[in-house]
Amino acid sequence: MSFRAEALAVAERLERSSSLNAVLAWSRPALEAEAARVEAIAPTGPLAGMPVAIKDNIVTTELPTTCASRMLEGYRSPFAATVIERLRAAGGLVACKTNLDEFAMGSSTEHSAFGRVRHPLDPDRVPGGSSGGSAALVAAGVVAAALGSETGGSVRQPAAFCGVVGVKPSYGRVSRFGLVAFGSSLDCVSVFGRTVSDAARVLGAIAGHDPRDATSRAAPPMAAPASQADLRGVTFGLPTEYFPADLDAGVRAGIGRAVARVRDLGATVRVVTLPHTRFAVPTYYVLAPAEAAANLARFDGVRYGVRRGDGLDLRLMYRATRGQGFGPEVQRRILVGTYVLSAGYYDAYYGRAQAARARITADFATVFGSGVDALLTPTTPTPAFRAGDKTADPVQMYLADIFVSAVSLAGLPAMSLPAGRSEGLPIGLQIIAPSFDESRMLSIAATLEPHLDPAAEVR
Amino acid sequence: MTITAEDLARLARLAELDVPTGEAERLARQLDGIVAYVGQLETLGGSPAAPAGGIEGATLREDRIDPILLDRPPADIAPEFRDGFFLVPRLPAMDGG
Repeated sequence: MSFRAEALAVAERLERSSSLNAVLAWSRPALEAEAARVEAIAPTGPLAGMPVAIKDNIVTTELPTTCASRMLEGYRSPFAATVIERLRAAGGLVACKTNLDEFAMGSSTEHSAFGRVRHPLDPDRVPGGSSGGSAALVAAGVVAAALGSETGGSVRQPAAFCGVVGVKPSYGRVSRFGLVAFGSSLDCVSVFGRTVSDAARVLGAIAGHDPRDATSRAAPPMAAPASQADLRGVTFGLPTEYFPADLDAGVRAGIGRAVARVRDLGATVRVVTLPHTRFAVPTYYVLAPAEAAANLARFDGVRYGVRRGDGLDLRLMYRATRGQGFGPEVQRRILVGTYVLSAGYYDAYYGRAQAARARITADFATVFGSGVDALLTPTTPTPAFRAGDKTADPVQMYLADIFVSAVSLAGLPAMSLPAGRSEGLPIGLQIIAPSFDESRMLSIAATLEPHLDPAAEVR
Repeated sequence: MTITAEDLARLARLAELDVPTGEAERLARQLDGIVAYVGQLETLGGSPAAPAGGIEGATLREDRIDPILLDRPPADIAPEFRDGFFLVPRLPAMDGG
């Protein structure tokens, strides 16, 4: 299909899927212009003509970037993110900007200032978050791949809820230049795909060192994943901490089935322990808000953000702008971050969280140093929950990320692979790999993919 | 309660944030819940001292600024821009608040 035909086809699908509320910006003329522009620069790239949906915290010059916040309503960036430039250089098309939890803070995409995203299989349920719009579009078959971002699981968790592939690369594998900063020591542009191959192609196109992001690494390029006949010679670890007694029965059955398939394919599976896992969510909810409080200081009505309180002095204008522009979850996180960094509390919270992060990272290093090639865990403790179930209690929402935060703190690559359904709802198998071992992780996933039967009931 | 209404007011000032009227009590309660939850880090044991920072393998760039080419001039982006300057509201009185 030509670039233009791809663009027109995705426009049709975007129109038909509008009830998901997964998209914040797109237009038919913008898509046609995108197809013409990209075809001129990359007529035969590895993604030639492939439409890719973009989470709306990644800046683009043609379409607005709002981070699903009133603060940035109508904002159009004067430059494009590195990942957007690389996507286009590989022939990929920016299809649309997708809905998210405001400033990527949330686990259900209910914290968007522009309305919640519907789960494609059940509109009363959430698609997960914060990259819920991107996940829902891939699951609904609107696009084959999408960009999201992870600070603490925001691609793997919605991938599991929606039944698609979600890949978080190692911290430093992909440039953060042009990703609106939330927690800079954790933020990673990440990828959704309908299949492992789709996700791997897009990740391969956007990965690589970028002088505009000092934390991006000059690592050897990723090899394309190679599907093998079996998994002989591969050793997997099952961390006991990821299989608690109260794990949802459907999730337990789905992961149990996947582990059985892994054994059938000739792999060695052994039980391992990551003893500091229970500190991962509290550590994350100290460090991420602390970094957010600093990063979001720039939204003050002068440097960025829709100015409110005109006629007031500068300080009152800042307060009015931020009080009216940020939604409740963003305000909570800024206030928590301010608290844990304030005099008298810094050592008790931030210092301890830094120490916990080092121990969580060391746990993974110990396991990978003992001959384990990759870890297998559930991605989420339950399948997709109902909208409204967790909005009243922020801590309950945070616990939806219980199996994804540790990886983010350790900066490791990990992915979620669809592993069957429980009562019609998808279950995700998480594969965690050593730092910068994405190629092997994706090859394992590609080998396992045809054996997981993602549409089948697991109980 | 660890976080009182006064604490919330102080945090809101530090964060340059007007807490929406009528939300203060609920927000203080929610923050209290979050702080109590992350407080379980106390049971970590050992020294709370942060490890040395730095990212293994990071490539530092030369200390030189390469301007980012903008799609539009700053005057088109800023709410008010005159003679090469960004205009902002008047500075507040030095009230310490």
